[in-house]
Parts: sequence; structure tokens; C-alpha cells
Amino acid sequence: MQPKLLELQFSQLQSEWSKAKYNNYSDLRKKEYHTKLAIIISALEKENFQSFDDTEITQRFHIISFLFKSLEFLNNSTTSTIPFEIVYVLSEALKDWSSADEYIIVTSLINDLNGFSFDNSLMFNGFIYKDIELLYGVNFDKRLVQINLPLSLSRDYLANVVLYHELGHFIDRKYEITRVIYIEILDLVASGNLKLHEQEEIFKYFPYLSDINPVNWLKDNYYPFNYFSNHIAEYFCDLFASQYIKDCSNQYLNYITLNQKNYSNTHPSTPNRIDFVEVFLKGTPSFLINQYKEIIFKITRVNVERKEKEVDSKNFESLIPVEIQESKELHGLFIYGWNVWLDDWDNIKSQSNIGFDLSQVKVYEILNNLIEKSIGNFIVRTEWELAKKS
Amino acid sequence: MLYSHNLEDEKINLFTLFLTKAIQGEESYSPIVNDVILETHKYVAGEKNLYNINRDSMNIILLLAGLENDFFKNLIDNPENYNKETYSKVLDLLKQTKPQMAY
Repeated sequence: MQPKLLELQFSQLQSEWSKAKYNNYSDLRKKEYHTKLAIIISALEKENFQSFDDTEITQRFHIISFLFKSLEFLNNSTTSTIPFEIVYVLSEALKDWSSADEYIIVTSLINDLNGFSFDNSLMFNGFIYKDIELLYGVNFDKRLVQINLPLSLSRDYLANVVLYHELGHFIDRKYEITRVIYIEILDLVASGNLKLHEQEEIFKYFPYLSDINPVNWLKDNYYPFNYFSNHIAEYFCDLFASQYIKDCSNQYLNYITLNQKNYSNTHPSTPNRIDFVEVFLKGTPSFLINQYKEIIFKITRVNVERKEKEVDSKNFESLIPVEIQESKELHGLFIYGWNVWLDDWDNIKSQSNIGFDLSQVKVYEILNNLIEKSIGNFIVRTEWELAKKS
Repeated sequence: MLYSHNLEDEKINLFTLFLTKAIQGEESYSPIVNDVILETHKYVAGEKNLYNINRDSMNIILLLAGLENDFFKNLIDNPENYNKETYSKVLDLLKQTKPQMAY
């Protein structure tokens, strides 16, 4: 490995850092993180890359990659267009599964209409943090995680329900849930001890498992992104999301996938995904969902169950925000919003006494605005109450 | 995409690097690799299971356990007894992995 290429990589970082070193953050935790990056970069500047062997070059490669990614995340977070309302709601959901102190959430608005995701690349590799601490004495007590939203949909709260599914991927990676389900299901199928209805249910959601050859191959060839892993993860994330938003994202999913009846390498069929969630929400007896629930609980000590509180209100139809009483109702807001969207818009006309029809785009704008205002008001009230106590 | 890159590759890469450092005598890396080796031993010995092994290094643990179960089973429970020979053996095992197994 050539030290010159390490010098190239570091030069790229230094060029980026020259612009970012004066970043301003309102969040103290981001400032502290930024300061730690500065310490590491300063230390790297004093190192003699020409004297490094391959191992040391590889080490610095990973560290500089980490620094680049961190800068990318922090740079994105200095813009003023971050939809803090959606971040707040997702953070509330995250608290059910993980300590809030572990991470700093940032957002990035991207030019991709399907670009809903969590970027976990700085979250789950403990080795890089240990190496940085050993080499430079810098300890990161919090890690950055980035939520990606399509720029054009950043304030579309109806569409943003899919972020609960993406949060599921984050939780999955944190706890390696898919990996365990993968092993357990294959063991069950291979054991030959399943009851007929249990077997039929597994083959319904994972049709390829009805043939023993794929089962044996999958057992010997685990890969995080093979089709079986991917499908397990997608069912998990749909299940995860439905705890907070019931079947809201199913409506959207059914439309944007045009009810895709075939499974792909990355996703199960849309009908199967919708069915999986409906079985859970209705409480229909299900061997597979019980397997998921048991495994998830054994790993995380968190029960898979409804975690939202439905909003009983006609405020949106009256064109006013909802006064949220507790954080569980924040998730219920999305369900309420979707119900209003899917319902007869004449209800808005009659409830609000506006006396004229609203165009679809006006209903769209008003609903999203009201959801945002409802969340925003709750945040302000909550922060105020906290400030009064301290 | 210019090249394939995923988190698990990066973890294995770093773990391999740490093993190399430990073999070279850099003792500060020993505790990091010892943790993974000990966890693998506990897993194959039945003292730990899929539900409670370390999540961050889980895929490395399962990979190592699948490569040479007996070696890890017969390891002593006390990581202070792990030495350059232990690290070299683990490093050799990792070098044997098929590209797909190494993600």
C-alpha cells in the first residue's frame, strides 16, 4: 500500500475540513463532537505517513473514512431546513428501544424521491471508536446517526410515516435481530418438527423455503444481504412500524409499489407484507409473528405491541391543530392524518364551516401543516414544562 | 457504485488489523481481540447464546465459531492466557474465509 495514496485521502479530508472547521452548531453535543474531530485531524497532521507499514496505512484509511463521514453528517446538520418535528417524533419512538444518550440524530435532505433511510454507518462499528481512543486518546460518548429524507417530501408527514419502517432497520442492526430470526427459522424448517399449519405459514411468507435445497444453502451461506435476510428484515421493519402507525404505511406502500405481487431479492411481495402487518394488528393467531415477537423480546427485552395512542379528535376537520397530551399520541397523529386524508373531505367543509370545497393540494398542505403544528406545539409545551421544573 | 462497501467487511478488516497488532506485540490491542475470542469461546461452549452474545461483534463471533468450533471450545476461559499463538491461529482462520463468508 502506498503512503502517497494515504496522503491523497488525508489531503481530501484537510480540504473539506478547511471549510468545515468553522461550522456553528446550536447543539452543544455537535460542538463537542466537532472538537473531537479537530483533535484527531491535528494529530494526523503530525504523523509521518511515509514511515507507515501496510497495517498502519489501513488503520489510518479507516480513521480518515470515519472523519469524512462524520463531517458529512455534521455539515448536513448546520442547515436551517431540518424538519425537527419529524426527528422529535422518531426520537420518541427510539427511546422505547434504546438509550437516547447514545446518539446524536442529524438529517439530510436529498434529491431522491425514494430516499427515506437511516444512515447507520457511524453507529455500529465499535472497533473504529476503540482504535481512535487507543491512538489519539479521544473518546466518543455519542455517535452520529443520519436520517435521510427526500428534499421534496421533507414536510410531507403523510409520506414520512415510512421513516418508522426505516427506524426499524436501525433497531434491527443495533440488536442483530434478523440474524437470529434467520438462524432460528432455518433450524425450525430443517428440523421437520413443525406442525403443518406452522410450516404452511412460513412457506407463505418465505415461499422458497418449501424446497430443502435453498434451506440447506441458506444455512451454509449466510450473507446480510441475501434474499432471505432481506425478507426477514423487511417483515421485521413493517411489524416494527405498525406498533406506532398501524397500517398507515401499508396504504402508501401498496400504492407506490403498485401492489407488487412478486417478491424481489430485496423485498417480499407487497400483499405478503400487508398481510403480515394485518395479522399482527388484528391479533390473529400466528406462529411466525409469535416467533418474531419472542425472538425480539429475548434480545431487546422490549415487547412488540401497539405503542401509539390514537387521537380522538375532529380538530383537523375544523382546521386547527390537535393538543397532544402525551408522547404516544404523537404517533397517533399520523394515523389521524391518514384517516382524514382517506375520508370524505366534505367532513372538513362541514366541520370547519368554511363554505367552499378545498382542492386536493390544499387538503394536502393543510393536513401536513396541522400535523407539524400539533407536534411543534407539544414540543414547545414539553420544553416549557421541563424548563419550569429545573 | 464504484466499489462494494459494507459495515461488516469493515469490522472484519479492523479486527484482522487488531489481531496483527496484538501479534506484533502491541499489548494495548490485546484486550479488544481477547473480548471477541472469549465471547466466541463462551458461545461455542454453550455459556452464551445467540440472544446474549455481544451484538457489535456478533457476526465475527458466529463466523469464527463456524470456522473451527473445537479450537474455540477448548480455549481456556481466562483471556490472560491468550497469546500470540492464539491470535495467529484466529488470524489464519480469518484468512481462510471464502469471500462471501467474509461479506
